[in-house]
Amino acid sequence: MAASLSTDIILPNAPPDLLLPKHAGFLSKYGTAKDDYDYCMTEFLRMSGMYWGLTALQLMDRLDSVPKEDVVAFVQDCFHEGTGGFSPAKDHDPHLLYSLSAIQILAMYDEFKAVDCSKVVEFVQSLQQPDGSFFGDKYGEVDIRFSFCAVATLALMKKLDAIDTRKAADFILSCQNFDGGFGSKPGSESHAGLIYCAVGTLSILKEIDRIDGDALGWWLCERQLKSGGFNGRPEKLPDVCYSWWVLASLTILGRGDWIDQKALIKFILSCQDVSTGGFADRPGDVADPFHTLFGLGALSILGYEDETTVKLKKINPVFCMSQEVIDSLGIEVQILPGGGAC
Amino acid sequence: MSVIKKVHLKGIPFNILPETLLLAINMSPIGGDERNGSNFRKKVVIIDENVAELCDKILQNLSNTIDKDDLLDEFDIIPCESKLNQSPVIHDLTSHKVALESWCVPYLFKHSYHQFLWICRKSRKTSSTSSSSSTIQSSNSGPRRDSGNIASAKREKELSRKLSCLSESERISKGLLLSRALIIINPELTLAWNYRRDFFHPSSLEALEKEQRFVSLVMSRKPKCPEGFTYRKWLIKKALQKSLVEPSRIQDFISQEIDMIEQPIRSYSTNYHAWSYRFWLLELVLTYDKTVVSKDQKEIMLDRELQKSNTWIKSNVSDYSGCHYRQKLLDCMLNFCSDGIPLLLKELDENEKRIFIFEGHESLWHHRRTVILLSINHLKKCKDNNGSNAPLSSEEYGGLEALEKTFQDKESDLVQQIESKNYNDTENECSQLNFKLCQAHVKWMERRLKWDLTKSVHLEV
Repeated sequence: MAASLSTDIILPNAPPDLLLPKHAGFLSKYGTAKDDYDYCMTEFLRMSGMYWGLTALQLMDRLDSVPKEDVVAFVQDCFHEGTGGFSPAKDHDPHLLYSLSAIQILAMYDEFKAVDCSKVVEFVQSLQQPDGSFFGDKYGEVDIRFSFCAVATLALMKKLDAIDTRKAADFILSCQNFDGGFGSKPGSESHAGLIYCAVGTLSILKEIDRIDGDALGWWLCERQLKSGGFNGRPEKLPDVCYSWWVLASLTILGRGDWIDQKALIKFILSCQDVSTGGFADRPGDVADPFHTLFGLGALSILGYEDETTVKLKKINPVFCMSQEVIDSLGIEVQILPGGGAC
Repeated sequence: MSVIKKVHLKGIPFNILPETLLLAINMSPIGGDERNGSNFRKKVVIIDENVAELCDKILQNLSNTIDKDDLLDEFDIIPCESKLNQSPVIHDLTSHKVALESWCVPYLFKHSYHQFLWICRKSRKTSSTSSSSSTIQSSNSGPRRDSGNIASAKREKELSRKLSCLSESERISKGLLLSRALIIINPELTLAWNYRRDFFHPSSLEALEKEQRFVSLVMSRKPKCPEGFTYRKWLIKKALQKSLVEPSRIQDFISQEIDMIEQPIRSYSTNYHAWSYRFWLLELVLTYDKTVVSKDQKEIMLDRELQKSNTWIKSNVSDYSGCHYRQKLLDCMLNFCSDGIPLLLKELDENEKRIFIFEGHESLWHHRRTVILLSINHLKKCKDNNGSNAPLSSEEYGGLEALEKTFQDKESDLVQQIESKNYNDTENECSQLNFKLCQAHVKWMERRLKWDLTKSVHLEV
């Protein structure tokens, strides 16, 4: 596959090994200073931050390094009984984005009983629109990400029948562009992160065969740059999180082998911060839980292992959660049959 | 910043900063329980009160500045240490810029944030969490939660003491003031935008436009902030719902908004949310009830956007978001005009010129692909209509089949030119890249369009 070369970075010579103990330390200590300015500044997405960190720890089999009771209590504190939604932090507003993160966290701990799930179902249900799309919250913004959140949340709770799934899929398809990709809403530009949302939603709804896997697969492959990393749109810089969005999408499309996997591994490993632990978007930048999860997630799909480290747990490409959890819930996702050679 | 207006605050001199503030923060009993001697605690309370009073003044100062200067067009946080007796709010009256000195931002944000959360708890029903969860919480509390609870209980007490004397309307005004400061420092804080959605009720177009200018000010520092665009959209809907805009002025009103978002588009290339919002605005006008916005007005809008986008993509060849917007414009145009073929052919010609001038730009090639697909689609539509609606130009080109051949030949021609250029100039990196992009283009045409151009060109793939 010819790589796009116009906007890229040059990698350091030899990437470090995978430093799992460092990453576990980085994540379990992250954001514990509650009176920090940074803590206040990032509270608007805390619930998702917890999901990123905890999932990454689970992939490394280190979930026990965080006290479960504290996490579950936090999730309960963010539950709004009136609406049935979850907010990113106590006293913030409920939104589908954080409701999915909350349900993912409860699923990891097998703790659905911690909240009244029937209310969560009602919350998601109440946000579906006549065209099949979803509002993120009561203020009425529509985005393909919210469709993914709604469908994934219900699927984890085995309550997909609460919404009009056919229309939900129709809306996803209305966001498709000529290039085969998907944007945030009808008419918006194709974007790898939003393609993941589209492909993930269709996979959960078992309607993935409604898209042309070849056309979309080619577009996704063209996101790989000479450095081995992926960008999310033409002529943008590579970023570790797109390793996940693109590779997970290709995996769901049955075309994960269309890319240069060795080059991608090298890129991801180069994005580790060897002193603090964690992954950054690009080599040399500041590490954070978001990029750490997506770096590890992509390595897990690639089945990466070396002699020095424990093997990462297998990740589910649709839910971005440990496959064990998805199996224990008895959930199956739809994967397109392979597309042959690229 | 040429003319800097110095604001002296009465009461607390600024020269006690930042050492005292830092002392207050470092010695804060929150999280430092072991140092809680009674003298120490007393000292900390005094300093905390000073900090609070100071932050309130800075807050008021910032708010007054924003209210006073309608022409403010830029906000920033300037890295610097505190200066003696000088407010950290810097206002340049001549060029209409406002800034905060960085040293005060953490204090100001934390102070405003906690007050704001307190007000939200009192004024907004949605913020109330279930009572059952707090019961579970107390049964689970470990040592870390305990210290957190002590700190937050103390803070809660202080906030109640300070804020519960406010009347409901005073509380709402205070919330609006705080939300503005929080947003300008951290525009990702959805809660603060939501508060404005709940309590900012514009009674006139002027009031609404003032709010739009505030969002622009926020975006001058954070041009790609998605929350800002969502809120802008909400404001536009509000203006239309409440009939704040005269029906005859709707098109102007939206055009004005498009002009406003050119600033974030210019300051951050491939600004996804900005372009997406721009298309939402355009569609809003194009699909507006035709008794309110006439077909002529819609065409004027579309023409204006086409011209503007032409200027944009000429000088921003790497901005694929701008290309995507143009593709949407062309698509809309095909529904408006009787003959789209010349428009599409011209677009391909212009694109070809750029491919040679600005070699090695993936955006240009991707744009080309979509224009080809738009053309094929357009031709297909004409065929499906049994030729009855065939575009006028098809006869000029000898019918629809021949027209499709014209598009194919155009691509063969382009590919041949790139190929010959590269054989002569392999040293140039951009030319090599262009050659690779051209190879990808040939492959794409084979796979997507089933056009086999290898017979007419001799590419070594």
